[in-house]
Amino acid sequence: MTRISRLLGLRILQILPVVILATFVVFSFQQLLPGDPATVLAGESPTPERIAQVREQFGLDKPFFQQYGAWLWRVVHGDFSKSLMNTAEVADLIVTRLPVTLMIAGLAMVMTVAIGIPLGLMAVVKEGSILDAALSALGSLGVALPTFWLSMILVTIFAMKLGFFPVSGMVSPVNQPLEALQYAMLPALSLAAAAIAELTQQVRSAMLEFLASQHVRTLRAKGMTEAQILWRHGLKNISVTIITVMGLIANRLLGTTVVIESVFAIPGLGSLIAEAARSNDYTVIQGVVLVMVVMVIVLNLLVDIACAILDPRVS
Amino acid sequence: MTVQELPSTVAEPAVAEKSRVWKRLAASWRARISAAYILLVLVLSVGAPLIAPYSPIEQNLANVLSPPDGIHILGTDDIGRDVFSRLIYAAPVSLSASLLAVVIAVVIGVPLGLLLGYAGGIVDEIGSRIIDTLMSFPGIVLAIGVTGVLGIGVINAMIAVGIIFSPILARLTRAQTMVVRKAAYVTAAEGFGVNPLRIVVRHILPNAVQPLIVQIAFLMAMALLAEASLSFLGLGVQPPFPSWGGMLAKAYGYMEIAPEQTYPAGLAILFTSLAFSQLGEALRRALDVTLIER
Repeated sequence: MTRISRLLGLRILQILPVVILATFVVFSFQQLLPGDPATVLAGESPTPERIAQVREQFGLDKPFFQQYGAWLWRVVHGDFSKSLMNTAEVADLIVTRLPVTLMIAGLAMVMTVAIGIPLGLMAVVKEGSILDAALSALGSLGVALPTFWLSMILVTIFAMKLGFFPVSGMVSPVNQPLEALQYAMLPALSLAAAAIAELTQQVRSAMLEFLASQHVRTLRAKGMTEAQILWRHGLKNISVTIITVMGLIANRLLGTTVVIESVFAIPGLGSLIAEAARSNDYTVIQGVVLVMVVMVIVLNLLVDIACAILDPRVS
Repeated sequence: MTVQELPSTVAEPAVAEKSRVWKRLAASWRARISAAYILLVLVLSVGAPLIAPYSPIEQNLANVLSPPDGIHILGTDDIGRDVFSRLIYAAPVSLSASLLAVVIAVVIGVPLGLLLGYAGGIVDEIGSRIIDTLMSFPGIVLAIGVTGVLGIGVINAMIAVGIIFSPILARLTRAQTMVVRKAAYVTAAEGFGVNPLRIVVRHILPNAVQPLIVQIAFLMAMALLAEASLSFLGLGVQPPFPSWGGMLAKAYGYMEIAPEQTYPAGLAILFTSLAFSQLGEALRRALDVTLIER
């Protein structure tokens, strides 16, 4: 375990500069604000006194790096300031909406793995068949598919015509987890569709590469059946590829959720930042982007650690 | 050998290569169909005022949500505007918006990649680290955030998308530069004391350009989807001007009454994005380049 723990320490050390860079990028958004940040931060139609007060409060008259330091200090202590629109604490908004987004993205990830890996293996077993060709075509379609349009089609079929799922909305996944799951099914399926198409192709090519290796020739010579080779040795050998691809997919899912939540009128982080962007609610935008970016950084760390555990060559 | 001879020794194989690439592209169904489709969209874009039967913004409240018929071949929307005309007028908006994002990504990403790849050392070490970090950030979230801060509108939205795409091109250009800069003709040019800027522009860039062309085709597909998403969210093209994403957002509002209205704009986004990504794939195969995995 020493290798893993040393690696863990090293990785955590390595992500520190990444997190600092992320906070710096997010703080620099302030430089993009058209006009005087104090006027924007003071909310709608502010009085000159209010602007002066805000300038004092956020230290906007201080040099850039000093402002950054003060902001970082507040953020580390969970103070993301107040929303410019309704004066709710940004931290509170994020905490209430985060579980919804995590649930949808998580469910989409489960669907992706549960459907994508078996489909990829089927493509390998039936290599060159019509099924294989169809899956490959879906793979190219997946990259170009506007997910928010797919979700509309799914709503028309599964919610409006068949009535299997609610058309839109969400209940609290913390208080009513089972009902929330029902609401999350269609959004998660919309997110998962393109991801499944991609994972299928990645599993297919990784497995075909493995099956062509010397190692498999030895296994066949030892009299192992094709099924044993595929399921026992194959999956283990391509696990690092699968985990890496899953990390990239999860990253993209978190991004796409932003758009999908707006389609389904789901009160998650995505609809929060979309609303904030429409109303130039600068503090909310800043808070949500930072939380999303940190989530992705942690996700990448988990992927790295998982790869290290699965593959002893990673150091 | 003199300095003057250097370019010609490089140029000859490049010419032979060029005709082979064209032959491969012409033989590819993927390339032909996607190029033909993109050409069609370009013709529709340029000729929109001549081709579209109606004005894209003229309302007719006496004829709202009409189903497709002989007069309005794709029907009318909730305030009686001709859907087919809006679809055509949205094409130049989406194409030029995507192009804007890609141009910005090229203008920032390519010089940065050339600099890192050619300079090497500590500059490259730090620069590459930052680029890798930026690439791991969720792109669409950043685009929404930056647009919200800059102020909504399609120009700001696509500037944001372009900035967010630029690390992809920087990384690719850097990798290509590092390969090409070790080539004998670059070492030779350096030996003759040619100005580094001239080496980069005249000798390295032309030989690093093929994977960039492929990546740019893929980026056009991604930019188109990003524009559609941002306009769908109300952050891109503002009403009453037509955009495919905006049309989808509208159609979604009355989906229970007129579900067929989500198809024209949805299919337009899908086909156009597909055409660019398939053109990229055809180019990738014809040029035989491999891109770095994200």
